[in-house]
Amino acid sequence: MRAQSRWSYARLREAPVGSFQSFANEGRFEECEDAWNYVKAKLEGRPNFEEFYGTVALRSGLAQPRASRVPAKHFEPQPDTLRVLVWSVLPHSDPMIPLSEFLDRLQSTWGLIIGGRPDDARLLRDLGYAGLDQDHDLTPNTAALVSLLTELGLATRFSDGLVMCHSEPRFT
Amino acid sequence: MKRSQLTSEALAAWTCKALAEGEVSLARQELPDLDPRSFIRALASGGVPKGVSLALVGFDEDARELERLARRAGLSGISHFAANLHEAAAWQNDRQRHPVIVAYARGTVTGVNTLRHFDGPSSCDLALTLLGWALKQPTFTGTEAHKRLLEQLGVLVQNDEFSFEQVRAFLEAWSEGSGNGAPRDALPALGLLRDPNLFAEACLISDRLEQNVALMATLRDRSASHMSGLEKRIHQSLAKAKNKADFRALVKTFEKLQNIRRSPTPDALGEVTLDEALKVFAPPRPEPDNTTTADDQQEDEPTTLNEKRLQRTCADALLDNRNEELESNAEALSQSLRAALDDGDDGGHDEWVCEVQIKGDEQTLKASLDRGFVAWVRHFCKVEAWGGLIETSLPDLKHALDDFDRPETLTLNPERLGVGQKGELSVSTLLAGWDDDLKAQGKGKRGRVALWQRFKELRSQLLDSLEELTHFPLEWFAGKSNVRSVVENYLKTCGQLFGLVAKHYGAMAQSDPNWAKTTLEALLALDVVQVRTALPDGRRSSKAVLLPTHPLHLWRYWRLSKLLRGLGKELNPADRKAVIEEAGVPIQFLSVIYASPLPGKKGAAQVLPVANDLYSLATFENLRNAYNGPDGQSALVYSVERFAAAHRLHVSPLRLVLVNPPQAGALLLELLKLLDGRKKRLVEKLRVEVRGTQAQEARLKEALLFDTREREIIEEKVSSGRLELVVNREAKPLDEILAELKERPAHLVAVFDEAPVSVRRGGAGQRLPMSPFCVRRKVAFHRRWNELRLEPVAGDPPFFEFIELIKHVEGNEGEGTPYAWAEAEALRESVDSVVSPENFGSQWFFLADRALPEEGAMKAQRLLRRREGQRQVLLAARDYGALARLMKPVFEEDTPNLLMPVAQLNELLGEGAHLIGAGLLDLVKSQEGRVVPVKVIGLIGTLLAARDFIQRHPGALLVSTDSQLARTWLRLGTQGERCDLLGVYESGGKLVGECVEIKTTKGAPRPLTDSDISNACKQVAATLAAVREGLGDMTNAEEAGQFLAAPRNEMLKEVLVQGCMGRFASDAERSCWAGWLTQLFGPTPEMPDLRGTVVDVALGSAEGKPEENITIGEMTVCLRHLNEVDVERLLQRPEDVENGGDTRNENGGDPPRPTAPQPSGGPALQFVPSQPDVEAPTCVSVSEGSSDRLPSGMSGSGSDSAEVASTGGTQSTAAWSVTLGHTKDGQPVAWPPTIRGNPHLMIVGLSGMGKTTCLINLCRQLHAGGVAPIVFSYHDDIDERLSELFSNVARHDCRDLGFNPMRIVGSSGKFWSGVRISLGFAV
Repeated sequence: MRAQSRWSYARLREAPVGSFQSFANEGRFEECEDAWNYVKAKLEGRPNFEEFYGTVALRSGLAQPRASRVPAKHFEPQPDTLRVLVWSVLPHSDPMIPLSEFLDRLQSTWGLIIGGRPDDARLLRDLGYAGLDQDHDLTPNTAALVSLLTELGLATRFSDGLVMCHSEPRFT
Repeated sequence: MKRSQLTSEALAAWTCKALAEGEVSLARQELPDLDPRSFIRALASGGVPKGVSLALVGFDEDARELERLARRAGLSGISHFAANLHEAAAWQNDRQRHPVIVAYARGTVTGVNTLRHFDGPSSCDLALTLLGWALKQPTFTGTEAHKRLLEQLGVLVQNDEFSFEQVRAFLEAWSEGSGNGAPRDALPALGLLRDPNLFAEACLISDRLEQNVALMATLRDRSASHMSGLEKRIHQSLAKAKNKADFRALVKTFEKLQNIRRSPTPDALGEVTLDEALKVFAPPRPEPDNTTTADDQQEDEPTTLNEKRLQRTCADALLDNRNEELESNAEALSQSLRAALDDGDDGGHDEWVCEVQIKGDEQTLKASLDRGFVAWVRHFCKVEAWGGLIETSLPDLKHALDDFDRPETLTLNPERLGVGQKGELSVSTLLAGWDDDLKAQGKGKRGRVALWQRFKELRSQLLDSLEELTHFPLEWFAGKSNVRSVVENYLKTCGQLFGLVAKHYGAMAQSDPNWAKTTLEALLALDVVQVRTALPDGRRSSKAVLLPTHPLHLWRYWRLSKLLRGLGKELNPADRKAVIEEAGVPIQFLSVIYASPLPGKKGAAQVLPVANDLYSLATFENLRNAYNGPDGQSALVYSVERFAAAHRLHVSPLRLVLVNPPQAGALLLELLKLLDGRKKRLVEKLRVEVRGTQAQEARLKEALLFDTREREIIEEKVSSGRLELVVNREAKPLDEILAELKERPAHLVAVFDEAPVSVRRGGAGQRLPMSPFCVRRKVAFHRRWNELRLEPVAGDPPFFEFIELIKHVEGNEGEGTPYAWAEAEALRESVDSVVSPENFGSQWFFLADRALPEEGAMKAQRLLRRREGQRQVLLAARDYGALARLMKPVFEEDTPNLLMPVAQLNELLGEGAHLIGAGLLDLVKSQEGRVVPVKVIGLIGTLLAARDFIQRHPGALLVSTDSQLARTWLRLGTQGERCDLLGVYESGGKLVGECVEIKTTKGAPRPLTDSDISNACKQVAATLAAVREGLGDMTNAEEAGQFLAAPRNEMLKEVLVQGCMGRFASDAERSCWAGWLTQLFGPTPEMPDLRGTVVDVALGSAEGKPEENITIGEMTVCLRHLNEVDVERLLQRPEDVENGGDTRNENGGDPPRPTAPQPSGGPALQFVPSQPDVEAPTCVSVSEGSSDRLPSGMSGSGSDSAEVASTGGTQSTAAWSVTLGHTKDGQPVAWPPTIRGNPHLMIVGLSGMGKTTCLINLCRQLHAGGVAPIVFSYHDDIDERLSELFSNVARHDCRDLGFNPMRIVGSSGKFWSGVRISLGFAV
């Protein structure tokens, strides 16, 4: 989400490809024949599998900008994608949670690490995202997420600095 | 050692240092895991002052436990403990009990905003502190190499290459390893590959680390398709390789690297070494093993050559005089070409291939074969055909020539010219008439007809090798001695014939003018093809192309083949490269040709200037600036980049106006790169306006056409709001375009190709370039124009005679030699009109053209002047203010004793800019908006030494040997082996040439034994030797084996003449210098006394040292020292003040004083005080550094003279101060707003306490002291009260500025703008 996060982009742009390849390796395409047929149909005329899923990553709103020449590539969830992410970890029965809890759930549910928790830097380094710095990357990344959530009405920053996330849009 | 312990050590070390420096409020959240025990132990050993209150939050220890730990560690300075950050925040309200607060937390704690204002270590600080701490630990400093590694890591951390997390993980892995190799194996923890060779060379540790970082960046940024391409190449190499084991290993490494790309965990990184990975990205070429069979060899792909590389390899062989190779290659090339031509004749394009021998290796030439070209050359170049004329409507010369096979096409047969009463005249009859008439007059002998017959015979011999002369003339001459001798005779005969005709033209013209002129027209029409194109408006344009048998086409290659032969043994590798490059440059030596009215009286009958070349044949056109290549574009991008870097606070968007840009799409793409990557910090937004003049209207239309890729990128930038692109489709004269700019000024305006190329005879203008290999020139002084010029005087036949014929046929005998000039002088006024006046149109002016105006009378100052391909480039600005302001901090930091006011710096730069060959902009780091301190110090040393030289030798001519031209011919190896300056002066009635090398240091003067100084002495001695070769009598130089003497002579002429035409030369000086140059380069050249000097400029020491001499070979070099005292003297220039004038100014008046300092920001930042009683200068800018330009009214006097003297300048502000009030005991409190004092003041108080009144009072005092105050206000009452006090307050609303003057850009890229909209300000 952070504009300069080349590390994340460079690695994650191929993540959908890796997912589908694992999926194929496990032989699970047989379980969803329709989806497989759809993929095959879409692949016709395309140079390779990888490019197709790279396009899926772009079209799903996870990767942008779409132009090929911009070097500062990054992931930036489109509003709809972010709403879905929030709803997926924040059911209606649990309408408001602190940011730290939200970040925990994002990791446990989707494996998304934003960088706002004390151990995030260590976790990321162990996963190979070695160049991410707390001050330069992770803190601004978290701030960017909070800012986007706030703009969408999915988070509220109270006067003492506490950030609460909620599934119902609220604007103050 | 665990990471948590390492964090503790780093944090404790940082804390102790901060407390020792007097900090009393320290806080930091978002810390990683930390071991409180280690932290407290480290604090105890580091030393903590009394009265510290410590909070450690989130580390699983409560306050009581922390206190216990401190007691056990013997840490007595801590008075209070807490494990809650809110408690620590509350301490802030009771500073008497908690005078020093230290609060650290893991993760983020909300509700403690007050701690955000405390100081805290950034993660970069922690990483650096940790590395510093490690440097003191025996665990990490087992060897010198380990220490060096830690130091180098510190440098990389400062460059943001590694995070704190990485550094502590690395040190943890290191401490867990064993042996001296532990750090090498720990590199994966840093996100790098293992590097067993890290310590192989102690001096290469930094290189290896940087290589590792770069490789990981490459690996990270490579897309999947790039990697698959790489994989494919490796597999192809594997298939071809004989030794497959290496390539199999490469395949395995590649797979591991792919794994790293997907999951770069430390484990994965540890599986590949740096050297293995490097091999994957630069795989070795498969080499055949010893058992290779003939069949295998055929399978291997041999190295291929193209025409250009062939010419270079031929020049190389000539230099070594590899005669056998040249002969065999010429023969092979000839056979292959002819075979290819015989293969098929369909008139289309294909290629021909030939195997040639290069130093024993067989290489393949693949060159294009244009059968259309061959066909028209053959048509016009036969025994009975000597050129011709094509009438066409096709605008393109090449297409028109390809379309030669039309009924209207004429060929020139010299034996049937189609002129005369019955059309019976031929060249033979015409020349016979000359012989008869002149003999009858008793003026000259017969012989012209015989020469003509001989000329024809020799030409018919050359026709046998027409294709060779067309496709590879240099190789053909080099390898065929018989062809060389034929051409030599041909050129000699031609020269004799043309010479005889030219010599007696006057006599013949008196006898029969028509006959005489027709003869000239016939001779000048030989071997030229004219193309007359019908234009849509009914007019006709004329073009011409030389045929391969034209004497002046053959002359260049014949001369090169003669000159280069065997020269190699005299040359070192760098010189050799320069000569080979020069041999390959297609510069034409002939700048004009006469397009005769023949054949059939349909020719143009006019002189045409050179335009371009077509398959190495010179072409001539009378169009304005036919050249449309991209040359000059990269200099423009460089200039824009440097502008942004030198003006960090420029108004956004950066406004750029392009007039007549060639290939606008490609240029825009280059410019848009400034908006990406790291450069985008400098250029947030770009506004590009494309304009066109009527002469280049076609380019304006072209500027609207982009290909798909260009369009995609441009649209993306436009849609993201970072680019505004305006193409103004109305073509207007340049003056009007520039006048319009004044209404809305741009930051940089770039003008391409506005100097029309035409034919001139002497006078103003600048000649198009010719190769110094081929042309000799004389120095001519045009007294009335006050100009020194170089005019070609080729002594070799038939060049001179040919030019004489052109002069005769034009009827311009004695009026000077006709040459093509580019009329660039008018552009000088354009540059000045845009850059110089108060209502300027642009801050910088960029000019790219075939020729540039002389800078002698130009007011604007040069920032850059260089040659780029076919264009020359000039970048000018009003002054060097912006650069000087950027440079100033370097002196304040590096040479604190040397005060360098901006005004003096500006003057110094203006005086010596022409001595800096590469231009001043190289000083600015393109991505950071800072100057390079080392370069600044070196530059100032050079400028001061130059001033010293001029003071020692008044009236001397001083030039730079760092110009592009000098670099080509004066160099003896790399740049480091050439000196900086060359001076010429008169001493005791004898001319002296002095080579000067300058070495600048921030420290004390250095002795001869110093390595820098001894190298400098060698540089000077080497340059002296080269200069000696280029001076004196050149007549027998080539025979004496001095083959570089002639080009060096030409280079010296040009460098010195350019120096004479510089901006600071007075009329008297130019006249004097003209005499010197005539002595040096005239008909009887004089060898001057040659001397060498090394100037050691020591900016940081007042130590005096006498001059010393050293003898190197035959040369004696003098070492001269300039210390701090000398530098101060040079900066003051007392003789200027006393004399009240400087002869170095062209107006004979004061030396070039800088114009009033200009603001570094955009036009909106310019404020002119409207107070008539303020006697000072005075433009005041809000940009940084403005405080040093205080007006003279603030200068010290009287009792403060000592301080004035100590600051070394007249602009000291020490004595002047503003009275703020009085202390309780009645002592006045004053605020001196000086450079070195504290220029900042904050007024704090409750409402109604008098802050505004105090401010108004300050303004009043400042005004009385001659300072125009600038007040940023958002309260109307301030404006009103100021208006009451001062009658001439100028008010500006910030909304009209296009920028927010209160915006502060921090290192984080954030900005604070408290009052963005309602802010106004008053001056």
